[in-house]
Amino acid sequence: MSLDVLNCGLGDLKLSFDPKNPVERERAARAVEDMLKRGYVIFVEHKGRTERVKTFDPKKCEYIISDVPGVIREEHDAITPSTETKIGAADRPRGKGRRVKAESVKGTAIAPRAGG
Amino acid sequence: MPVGEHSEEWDRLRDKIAELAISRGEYGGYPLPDDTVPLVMEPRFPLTTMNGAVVTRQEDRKESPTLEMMARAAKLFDFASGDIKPLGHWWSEAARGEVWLYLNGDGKLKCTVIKKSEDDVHAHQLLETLGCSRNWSVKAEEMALGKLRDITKPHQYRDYVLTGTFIERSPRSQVLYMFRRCAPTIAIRHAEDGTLRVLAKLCGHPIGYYEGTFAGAMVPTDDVIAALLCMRGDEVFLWRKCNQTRRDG
Repeated sequence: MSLDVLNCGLGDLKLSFDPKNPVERERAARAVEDMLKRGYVIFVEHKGRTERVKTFDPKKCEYIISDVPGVIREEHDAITPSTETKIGAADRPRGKGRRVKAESVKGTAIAPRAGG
Repeated sequence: MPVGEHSEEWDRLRDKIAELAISRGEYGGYPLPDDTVPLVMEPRFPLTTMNGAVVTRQEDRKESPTLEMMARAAKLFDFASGDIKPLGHWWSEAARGEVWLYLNGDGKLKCTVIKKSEDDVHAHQLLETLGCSRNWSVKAEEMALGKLRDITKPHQYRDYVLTGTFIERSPRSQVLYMFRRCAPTIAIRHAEDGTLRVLAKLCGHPIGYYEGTFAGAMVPTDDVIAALLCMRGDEVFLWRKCNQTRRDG
């Protein structure tokens, strides 16, 4: 598992663990779980696409990812937030999501975002 | 610390703060408060004292030009300047100026618009951003550049290094995004007839930002990486978490 965390002072903090080492594995799993609880978002590169991690299964050390629908706001809505232009309900995430072994993908964690 | 002064002690302090943050489970780190520009933190950020934090002591701080102007206006209208209590202010596109809400000497709620030219505001933001750059580390920016190189195509990285900007089209919405260093991301709709239409400028920073500047808590390229990954992985989230505006800043 390789997880980069964008960091204020360091630029990029790298978390990695040896999947065969249970202590390291547990420590990394705890860190990921904790980050998600604190509102961090994690993106992983999976099959050539960037996917957002929905949840994490610490026991199996697996990310659970889902597709998120492409929704954009038009110019008018950008200044007076009202309705969203939805690109089809079929795109909505549903079900339990797909599981991805944490050690098999490269991820990046980003702290909660503030509008500036 | 004076603007532009480099200090190894400052770098060591930054490293210590980073270590402290990680030991507390804050993997995103803690931002450095600026001398004069207050931090605006993401509401869930656990160190609530950081919100609005500045390093300079209160008694050493000068009132903002706007407050000074309000105090002068208060004298003209014959109520004590000390009684003015600003409640908040924001930029209004419609009014083309800053809207200020305040309580006057009688405790009545007042609202005033201070007209400013966009050029003045932009120049002020650029200067303040330059000042805030002392809170970032060159090492962190270099790390972020390395990461950006890994996640972008060679021509995008080249564009970024040379111009501070690169473009990527969203495969979902087909919106073009212009990712810019130290500036909001521009979302553009490329119509079939070839015309380009700016949908919005998206401004957002992980953890927080320095008020009234383009500077985020993280180094500029980390802000760009965050916006890029959000666009690729969850476009809706990017739009939801950013301030949407049609002007820079």
